[in-house]
Amino acid sequence: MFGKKAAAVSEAAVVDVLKTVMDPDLHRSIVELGFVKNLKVDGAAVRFDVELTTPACPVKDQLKEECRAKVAGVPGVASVDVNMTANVTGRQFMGKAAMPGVKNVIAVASGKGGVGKSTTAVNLALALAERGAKVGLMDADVYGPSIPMMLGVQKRPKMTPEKKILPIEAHGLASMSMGYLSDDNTPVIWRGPMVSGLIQQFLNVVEWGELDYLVIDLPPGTGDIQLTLCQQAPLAGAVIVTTPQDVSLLDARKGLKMFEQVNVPVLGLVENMSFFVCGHCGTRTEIFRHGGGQSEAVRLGVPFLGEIPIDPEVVVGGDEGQPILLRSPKSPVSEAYRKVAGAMAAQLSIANASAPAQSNVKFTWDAGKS
Amino acid sequence: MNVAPRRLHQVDARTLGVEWSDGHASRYAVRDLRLACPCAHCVQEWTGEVVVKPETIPADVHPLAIEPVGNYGLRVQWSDGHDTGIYTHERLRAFCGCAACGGPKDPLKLGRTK
Repeated sequence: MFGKKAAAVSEAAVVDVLKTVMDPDLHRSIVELGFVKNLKVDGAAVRFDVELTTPACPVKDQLKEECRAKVAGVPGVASVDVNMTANVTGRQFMGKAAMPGVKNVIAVASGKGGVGKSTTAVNLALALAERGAKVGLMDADVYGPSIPMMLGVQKRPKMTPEKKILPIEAHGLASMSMGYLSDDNTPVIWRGPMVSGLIQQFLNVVEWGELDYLVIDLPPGTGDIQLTLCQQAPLAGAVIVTTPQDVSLLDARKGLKMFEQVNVPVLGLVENMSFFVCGHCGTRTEIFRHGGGQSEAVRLGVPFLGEIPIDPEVVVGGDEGQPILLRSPKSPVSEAYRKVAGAMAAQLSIANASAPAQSNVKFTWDAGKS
Repeated sequence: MNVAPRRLHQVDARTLGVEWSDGHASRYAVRDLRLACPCAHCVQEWTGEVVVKPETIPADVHPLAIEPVGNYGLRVQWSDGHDTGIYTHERLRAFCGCAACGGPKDPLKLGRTK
């Protein structure tokens, strides 16, 4: 009878239209990239998962809609159910498997102090976690740890029976800082080798567990700690925080060169304290000038991840242990952090896709071999 | 281009083979690699002057172990006890002595750490 049975929808027809959906960052089709999973065609109903490389993908919603619309256009399809998931890709590195379970180690760096690097690190970590990623935050600023205050926690980490240190859980992040190990008023007066040893412990002795991203808040500059991390940690990428003034940009350039020398991909520049919007009249004031970060990123050939406006609430939030992303999740600053986190995660997926495959084993010589 | 060693293998008692991520294959005489050590004990940091004395390096010097350093280099533990040099991928590749890479190079003329 007419219309009794429409031609069955074939899986192949669905896959064919999905082949035209491109990942905007990796420039390949989502079928070719293997993102389409669990495709089920039940009569006129189609359902499938799209597994992205990061839950913080900035174009997740557009991709979902594109998939839905294209599959809905296949003759005979009555309903489409697209489920967006993520499986974060990790850096294949030639390391000592120092951090099993940690897929990506991201350093948040700045050439000079006072640019809001720790604030950026905390809020980027929270923005990634908010999207469903498993995130850790390591405070590598041994001399001036600020993460405990910003997260509003001051606890002593516990040891496991295997003598591993358990990170402190706060706001959904696993965190570790020198600030948890020393009290507030005692300065850490240590020589370089001791600090290097501590950093190694943070990497190897802390039980980070399974993480998609471990965000490391670096101290400012290009010193001992930075070098230790570049040698000991399999850094998947680095983000450089700057303010718009020339002096900060100059130092950002030095940080960038350091990461280039040790083959750590620079995921991009973030311009912090970009501008101030008056709460009374709405006038926008560009206190340190504006746009320096963007033009510098273009000049250096690295991505510009975004600009963060100045908001006094950020400072209050940091001092009171309530990061802005939690304190005012809808504020323009929080939205700006989310945008930067998404752009950073996308750049990381690109870097991971193009990183040279490296072997992962220590090589031993056979002296008896002739 | 950013290349990294994909696989290390021992060719014979005197030769280390490196397969690179771009498919290139290099072979290094291990004693030459020892002489090419870029560390501050072997090459003066400021002047770039080579201070390692070839006559003090045993003829049968060979690696005991090689391990990666971050994303950018290899550290070699040598049979003569030396282990402070980091051979960056870039420098190691530049030292490749195959015809396509411009033929053999003098390990003592590589200059300071790059």
